[in-house]
Amino acid sequence: MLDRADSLPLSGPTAFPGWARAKKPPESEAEAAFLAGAALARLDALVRAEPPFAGVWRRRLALAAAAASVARAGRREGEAALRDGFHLTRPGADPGPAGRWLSAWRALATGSAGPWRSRILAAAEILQVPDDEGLRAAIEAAEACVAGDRLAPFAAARAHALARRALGGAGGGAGEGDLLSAALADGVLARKLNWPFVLPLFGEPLASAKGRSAGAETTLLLLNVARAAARAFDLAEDLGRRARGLAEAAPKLRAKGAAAALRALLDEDSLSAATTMPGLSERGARRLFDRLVSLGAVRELTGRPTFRLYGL
Amino acid sequence: MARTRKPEGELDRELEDLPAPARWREWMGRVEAVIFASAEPVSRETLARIVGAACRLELLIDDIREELRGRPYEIVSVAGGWSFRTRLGFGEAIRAALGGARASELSRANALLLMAIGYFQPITRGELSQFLGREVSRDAIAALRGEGLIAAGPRSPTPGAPYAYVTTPGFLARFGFESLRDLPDIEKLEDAGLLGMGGDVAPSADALADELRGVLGLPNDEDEPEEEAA
Repeated sequence: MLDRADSLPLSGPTAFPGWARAKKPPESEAEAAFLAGAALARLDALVRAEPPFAGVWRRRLALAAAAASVARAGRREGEAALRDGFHLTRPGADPGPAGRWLSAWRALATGSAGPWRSRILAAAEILQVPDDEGLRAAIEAAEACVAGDRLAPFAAARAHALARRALGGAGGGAGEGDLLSAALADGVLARKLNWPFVLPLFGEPLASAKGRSAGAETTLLLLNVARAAARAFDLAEDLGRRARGLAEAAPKLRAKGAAAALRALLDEDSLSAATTMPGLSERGARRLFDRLVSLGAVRELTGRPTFRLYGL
Repeated sequence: MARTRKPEGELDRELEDLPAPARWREWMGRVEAVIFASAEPVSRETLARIVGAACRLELLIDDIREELRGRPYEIVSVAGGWSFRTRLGFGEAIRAALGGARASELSRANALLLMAIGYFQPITRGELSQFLGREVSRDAIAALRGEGLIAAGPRSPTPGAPYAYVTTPGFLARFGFESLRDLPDIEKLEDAGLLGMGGDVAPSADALADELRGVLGLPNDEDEPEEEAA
């Protein structure tokens, strides 16, 4: 599984082309669409290859999207605080408002691209957005966009606009409505591109889209998608390198249960020694993680001497 | 209630034998009765069990609200459901007749504590003490937990792994908030980027306490003895 990391379309002729990165805000919708198209085409090859680190990739993107949502809602929790909250909340306990945003993004970023309707409803429930007519209308609008014949990024942008309108009034504050609109747009994009899973790309705030014409909003959305796709590619490149490092360290590990731990590291954003892994005790996990850190294959993410968290 | 009742579980939701206007009236009556009879806010899922599948609850409740116009009580959306509430202008009369309103059963110190948790959740007892400039006792936390207004959320990654506290749906219902966004003046704190406890800069505790007192309509003079710290 790990050795597949070498054959992925990440570097060399398949690396992300510098010309597809937006240097300055595009003047027109056509320019934005060109950048979005180029970025999505590059990302498409990677998504279809279903890299072995897809789990950690998607969950890190979900964490970044949650941090962006939380910041936009005027809250102070950054990625590190969100990660702590996630690991230190008992199952079933309420992680608090910021933790709910992360749970919602994680619920949206996992699983396949198919049954997204139930995942949107699950995210709405986590966010305590009532399952009302606004939400149903937003989901139906997004499904109509999947069925329609607009090209993928335009269908997603349209779904975003329609969902925002539907969710704006009824139920849920503006912030939760924005998150669900972005999630619906991500779902439409993945379905239109026939991706096996959804990537959170629309989570970026719309820079002062208020008061602009519908055309200007589409330009902004397309630019956001282009930038988010480039960032997602960069993150994958970094994770691909780290996954190769992990593969090189794997033969040096003697611990029982090491294989399960390596799989978990490729799947999750971060792990604590207390994370249940088959065949590995908490003490065994701590020793294994420390060994991986000393081999340079895994990072300790908190910088704390206690409550440590490990990840690629 | 003269009609003979069908056995439990066989409520006719669709009411297809009735003409549309009569059906709508019957649904309105059912929904209003259930919200009236319930002590807790009634969720959409609950109400969906007593009306037809095609019934649009928002419109139905708008019609009930229209009928209640001019009455001293109304139906409000709180904590993800609907609930009856007396209109704001009658608070004084109710207090004069029946004594204190429910919210004032909380001591002033605990009300302040509760609002601080509302704004800065998840927050530990230690952080609250630092924040309010006085020791927050375990008893005060236990009192709010006992009333179902707060619950233990995530643990804090600090020595002893203390619990950070979060507000519950019961908190929203009690104060008539639909969501945390309805907390008074939350926009000011949002704009200042002060919500939550993840950042480095703690807002001035005095400024915050003044703000919260204003929000809760509490007088600034401390004529009530502060709760003793444990």
